[in-house]
Amino acid sequence: MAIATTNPATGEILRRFDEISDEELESCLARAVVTSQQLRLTTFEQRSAWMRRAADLLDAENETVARMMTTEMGKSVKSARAEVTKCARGSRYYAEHAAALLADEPADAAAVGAKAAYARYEPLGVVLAVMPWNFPLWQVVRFAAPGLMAGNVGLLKHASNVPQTALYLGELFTRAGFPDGSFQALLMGSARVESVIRDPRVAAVTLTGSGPAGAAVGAVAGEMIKPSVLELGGSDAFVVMPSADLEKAAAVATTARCQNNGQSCIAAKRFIVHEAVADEFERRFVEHMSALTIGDPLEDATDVGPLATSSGRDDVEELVADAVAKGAKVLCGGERWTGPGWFYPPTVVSELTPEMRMYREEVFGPVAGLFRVGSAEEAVALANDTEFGLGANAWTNDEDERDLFVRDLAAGAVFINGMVTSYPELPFGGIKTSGYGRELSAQGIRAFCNLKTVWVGRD
Amino acid sequence: MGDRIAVLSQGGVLEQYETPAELLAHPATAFVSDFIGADRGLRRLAVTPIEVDDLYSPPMVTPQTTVAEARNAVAGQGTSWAVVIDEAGRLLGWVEPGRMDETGSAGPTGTVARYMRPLDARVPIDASLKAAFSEMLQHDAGWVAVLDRGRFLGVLTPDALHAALRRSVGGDPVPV
Repeated sequence: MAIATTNPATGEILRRFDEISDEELESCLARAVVTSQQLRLTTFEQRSAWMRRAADLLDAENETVARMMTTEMGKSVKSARAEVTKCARGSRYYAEHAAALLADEPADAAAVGAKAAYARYEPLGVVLAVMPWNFPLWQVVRFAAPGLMAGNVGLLKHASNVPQTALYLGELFTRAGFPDGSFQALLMGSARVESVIRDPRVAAVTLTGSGPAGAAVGAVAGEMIKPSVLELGGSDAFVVMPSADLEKAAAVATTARCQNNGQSCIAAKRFIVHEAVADEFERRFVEHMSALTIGDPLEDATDVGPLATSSGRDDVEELVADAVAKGAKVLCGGERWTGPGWFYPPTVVSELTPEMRMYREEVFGPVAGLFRVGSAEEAVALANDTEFGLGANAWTNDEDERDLFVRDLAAGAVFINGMVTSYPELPFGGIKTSGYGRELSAQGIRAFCNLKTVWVGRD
Repeated sequence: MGDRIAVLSQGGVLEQYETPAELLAHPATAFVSDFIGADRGLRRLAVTPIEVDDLYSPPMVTPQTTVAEARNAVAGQGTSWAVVIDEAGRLLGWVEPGRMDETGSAGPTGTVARYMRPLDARVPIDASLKAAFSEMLQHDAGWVAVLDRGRFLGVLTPDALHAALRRSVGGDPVPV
């Protein structure tokens, strides 16, 4: 895929970018390793001051950055603004907490016959980040803020359709005061990722993206014995039980499915409803889904913009067509918009069966699959009948059911009576083919640290 | 050894009680200023440590970099030279790509390894600005490399030295 900004709302190519040459890449790697030697000598206090300045820049430039993202990948400008705000908040979280999260861990010195024994967190060095276009700022900051605060240096290989956001991120942290080369954007295609992972100057890799991309990166990292964190796809279940607040559940279900034009790994994709309230939930859900405003994502009133790529819309269409051909029922939406741009309307599909691709595959667009079950146990079984395990949602006001869902839903996160989302304070990641490792919270900043055991003998 | 110095004038009057760096940067009274002398700016060099922030990151190449690539690396960087580091980030030497003989046996596809010169002007990161300046004078160098146990961190240029002095302790302008 060529590196370019293409407006998904019109299909127009706005700006093309050249890939960096091999010698430019070489020079970025040399700079990265030298900067990592500098950064490990700086104090938390110094890095916090820089990180806070980065947060201030994000706040001050919120509108410009939001419009840039909307132009590159089509998310509604109001959601883009919220993303920039979230990035500033995430940066401040790590500016404030990094020192405590990476404080030395005391150990029982006497028990190991030492004068002193403890474990300390040290940065690993240069970390490659391979990032997707769907949250083009947040996915990157989620890695960069803890990474830089730990004293690591980042190299960003961003998705080819968000080069302007990539370049902005490549400058943001140095503008905020971090040494040159602390976080560099590498404009290059995916084919060159392998050689960068293999480079001896790169210590580790983190990827957020598709399953095949994760498998490829994880395989090379494994062969090179370099740590990796993979955050991949998801097909989150959204379970609704009779005791739930149905109106609230239907409203949140709509947001959970259509946020980011339906292109989120933690979007709820499979809606599993108890038969006692299925008709009622379905009616309210379809009402909410149909009421969303679709249109130019740069307009404040727009809820749902276009899908980010033409091929992405083709994939969504194919999945819906396959389900319909095998007997599924479309309750709303289901037809692409004619005219320019890659729009696809909010769609609800019911009567899904295991033969349909939608039953197992992730739908990366605003298409909800509806299922009916007779019990909480049946809901759990259906929710877990997937290769994915990122997030899970359950709506119930019954305590026994709540405990059952918390214990038995197989996922990296379970949210009860609320939408699955990420917070800097909470670990984020998946199981099964949704990936491994955790981002955010203490785990996120420790992921790329060497936990060095220190043992000092008695004199 | 104490961390702070008391300056007493006639009759035991305490004029100032401060760290050496602060004393030199901000003499509290005319007496203190007179006492420490007119060259207090220069003396501050000895009590001001090098910081990562003071360093300039020059163009960097590895021994395997070709002559042509090295020329590109310095082009537009405002310097005629580049430092040579290995893949572990250790300092190996320096080169001036503009002076490499392209017609020589190596040609433009030859690597910089054969043009590399040793870099003697170097100081550890925990040295003072005075040590860096002294190193620069001793080797008649335009800049000095700063290292952390062999790991290259960047270089100090005369401009950076001056900026570091200005930054240190409140940052009033220092006549150098």
